[in-house]
Amino acid sequence: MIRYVLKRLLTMIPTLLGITVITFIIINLAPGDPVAAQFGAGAGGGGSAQAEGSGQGDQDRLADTIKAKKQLLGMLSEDASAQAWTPNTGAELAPLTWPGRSSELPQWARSVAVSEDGSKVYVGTKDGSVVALDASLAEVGRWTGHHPASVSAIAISPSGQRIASGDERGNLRTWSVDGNGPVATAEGDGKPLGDLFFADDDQVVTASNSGIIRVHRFETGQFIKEFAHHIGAVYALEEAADGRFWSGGIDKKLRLWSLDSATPLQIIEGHGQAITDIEAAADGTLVTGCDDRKIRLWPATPDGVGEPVVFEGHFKQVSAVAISDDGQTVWSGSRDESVRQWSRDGVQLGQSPENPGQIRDLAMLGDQAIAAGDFWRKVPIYSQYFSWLYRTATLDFGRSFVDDEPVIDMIGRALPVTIGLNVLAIGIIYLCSIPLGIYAAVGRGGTFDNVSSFILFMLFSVPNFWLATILIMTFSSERNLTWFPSGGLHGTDPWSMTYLEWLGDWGWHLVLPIIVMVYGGFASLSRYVRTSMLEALSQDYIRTARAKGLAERVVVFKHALRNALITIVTLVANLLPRMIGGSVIVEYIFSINGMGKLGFDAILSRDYPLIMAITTFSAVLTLAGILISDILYGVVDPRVKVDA
Amino acid sequence: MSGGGGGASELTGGEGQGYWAIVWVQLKKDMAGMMGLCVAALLFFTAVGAPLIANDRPIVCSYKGNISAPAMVSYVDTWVPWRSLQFQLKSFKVGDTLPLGDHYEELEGLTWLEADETEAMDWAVWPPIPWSPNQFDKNALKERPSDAHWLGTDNQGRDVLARMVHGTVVAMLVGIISMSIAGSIGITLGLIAGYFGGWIDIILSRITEIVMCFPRFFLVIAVIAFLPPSIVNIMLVIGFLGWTGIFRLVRGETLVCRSLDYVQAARAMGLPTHRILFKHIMPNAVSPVFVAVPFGIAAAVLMETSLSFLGFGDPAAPSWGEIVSQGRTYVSQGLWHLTIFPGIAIFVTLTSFNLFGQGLRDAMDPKLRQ
Repeated sequence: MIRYVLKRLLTMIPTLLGITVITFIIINLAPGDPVAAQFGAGAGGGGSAQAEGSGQGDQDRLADTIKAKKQLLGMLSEDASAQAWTPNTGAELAPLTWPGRSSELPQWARSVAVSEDGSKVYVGTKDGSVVALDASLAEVGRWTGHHPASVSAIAISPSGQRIASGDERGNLRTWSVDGNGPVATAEGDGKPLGDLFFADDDQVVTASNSGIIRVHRFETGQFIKEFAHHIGAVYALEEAADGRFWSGGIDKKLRLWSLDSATPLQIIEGHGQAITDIEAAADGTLVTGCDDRKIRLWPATPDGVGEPVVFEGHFKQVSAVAISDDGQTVWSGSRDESVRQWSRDGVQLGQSPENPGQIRDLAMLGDQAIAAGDFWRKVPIYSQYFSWLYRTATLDFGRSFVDDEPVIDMIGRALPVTIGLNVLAIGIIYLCSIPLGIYAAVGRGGTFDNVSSFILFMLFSVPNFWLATILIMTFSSERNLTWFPSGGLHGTDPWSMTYLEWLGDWGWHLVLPIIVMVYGGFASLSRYVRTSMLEALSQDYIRTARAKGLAERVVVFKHALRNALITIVTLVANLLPRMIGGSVIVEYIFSINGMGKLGFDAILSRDYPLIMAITTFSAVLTLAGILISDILYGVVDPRVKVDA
Repeated sequence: MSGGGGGASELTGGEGQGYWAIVWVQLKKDMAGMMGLCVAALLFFTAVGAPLIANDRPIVCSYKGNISAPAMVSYVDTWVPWRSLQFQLKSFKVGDTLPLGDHYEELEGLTWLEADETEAMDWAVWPPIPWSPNQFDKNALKERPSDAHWLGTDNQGRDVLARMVHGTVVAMLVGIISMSIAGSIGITLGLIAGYFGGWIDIILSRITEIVMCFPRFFLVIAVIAFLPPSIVNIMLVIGFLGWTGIFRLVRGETLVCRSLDYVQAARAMGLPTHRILFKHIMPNAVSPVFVAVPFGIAAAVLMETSLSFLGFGDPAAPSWGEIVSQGRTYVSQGLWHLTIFPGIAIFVTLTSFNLFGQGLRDAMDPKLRQ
């Protein structure tokens, strides 16, 4: 017996592996971004621009979720580093070369600044650290634990001795290059700081998503001046000559300010969407990146800027731009995960050879562009599979995209409901079908046999969703009867009930769903019982028993039924696979929060971690059911031992 | 390979040296089975003739002295996938007739029904249900059964009876084609696994076990939800996930046949493997499949209607499940006709195929022969 069970367990292993392979393949082939349905326009289709006014936060969240899907599937591994890109001179439109990555940063780099002499690079990271790198991008120091959120902007003072950094909750920190901690801290209003720069060594200008530009003192962090003219978030700032500066944001207008006056000197229109980044060359040439997927180069004129040259090529929003000091080369990074290099008149000179990740910030270091962004590495398919297998084996199914809750917890809540319902249903099916089948078999060809098999056969052909709809229409509709509730498992206030009341309420809610779950099973099971009883009753030992003069009751229930039950018991396993599949409709119609409804909702909202987990879970449950039935078979039928 | 059609051709063909003739004689004795077969055949012909039964165009009419058959346009629109060929077919005419085309320009902005009341239309033979499945009757939203709409209308004013007639097409298509796909896969793999045995058998049987482990309905919804909603995808998915039962049947039969003398003889004569498999073993190994086919069609119809009930159906193709789901949506308004009638159609279809399957099983079982 034990040998038989062990052998059966061994043959299960390839099947289990197969189940994980199939789940893995299905989700890998599943097209589209997982949360496209949730976020509406602009989520999945590379081309469509985000709806106007949707904040940077939403977009970031969307991008994070897409990455989360890829990471969940093991398609990518997080690769925290800043990258340097050099132009491949000589060849026309040659791809950019990719010389190197920095040392591993604590987490993804979100912002980058290069000192004027090019000797130091400072990087702000997603976990709130500021990291100092040397000219070859090797780490020389870091400050961690001072920013509570990811560092979205960073700047170096003209002298190169002072640094300022701002984070996504609007907090400003100022640093001295040699210091151990911040010189000053200024707490923000919770809105991200989009950009900042040093007006001089003592004044830091910050742009906030709340739409206000502020001038802070370096030493104290206090703000001394405010510029409020923007409508909506300000994403970009850039210093201009003579104490003036540029700003741009979600209101699509470029503004030129003087530090001395509270109103903008000049307002320039011409952007199709929010302005995401502004950079200036030494001669005053201005480059802007925009959410309309275009880069605009504004040549310098004595009284500001002239007509822009528009660079087109990115297929998602441009998130960062940089321009070389001589104003001849422009770099751009985008949400389409590419870094591109352009000549001054808009000819694309090169493009990054592979998709490194979403670019957040760019800065020039000599003729190189340093990119900060969410960098990922592709993972070969076999190691994708093995990491998925490992996580499945450890029951780590990740978090739901929709509810941001561990998937295993959600299943842990839904599975008992479904199993409870099904155990109840299967119990009722067995309790009713066995007597029906026995009675039909004993009186074979009689009225009861004919009528019951006819009725059950008809019931078998009734679609369950139809019966459910009719039951709701009849018994829980205002128009007809309101005998039963139309959905849920409990009334409005289950907590205040006593246990008996609670149980009664539960049973009352269960009547309709259970009817829908059981009626189809009667037909097949009672038919099986009838057949196997007939077979048992036609055996020689029954004739012997009758010949001995045993009571008919004893013959039927003791001699025939026992043998007939062998096949009937094993049928439990056939009912198991239908559990979750069959639960979908019943739970959907009666709004019961079990596995079926969980799975249905997960499919509708493309909640990949949940779909994967439910598919795997139910397949494994089914396999377990088959195993149990095999073992049961071995228990009730001693001949199996001989076969094994 | 419909349950009825496939069986019938085998029966009259006499290929099985009397076996199918015996089955036919047995089946004829089974009232219920024959009724199932007749209703199934009736459903099949309803599906084939759907555009002539429910249509907003006349079957034949004489318009300004020209004879035309406008209802045929529906066939061209439904079954001809190429636009250019559609155009050619619609502009085809014989002698003194109108081409099929739409003719709404000639009708002076009227529908065919309105044109029938003008003098321009001399006579017209109308389909029994003068509504198309996707035709909106703006004056009769959510109407109860009436003279104009025998089984009422849905929330957009579409005739329920017309949608049900055209829903037969979807049900029959899904049932028959997905069963053909499942049958071909199951028979081929089953023959291979049973005949070659060894590693091939082990691998194929493992694969079958894996596919059987997945809750089929859940898997079908998952796959359908990721694909664009179309009836072709529904047929393919149901077919590609439904072959496991047939595989097991055929494999078992092939295992038996393999060791029989006539197969040994064929092998000894040096016949090529594919010939032994498909010419000698298959005819003997597939007979249990014929029993599985009607049940399989019923299961596929049930699955398709369930899918469209849940909203995963093809929005362009009227389906019974979709109408029932409307009835559920408007349950508080008491639109009972939306639930009852299409449900009866599903019930009748399932019953007829199940009855026929049961009759066929009894007829093919030598133990039950009278």
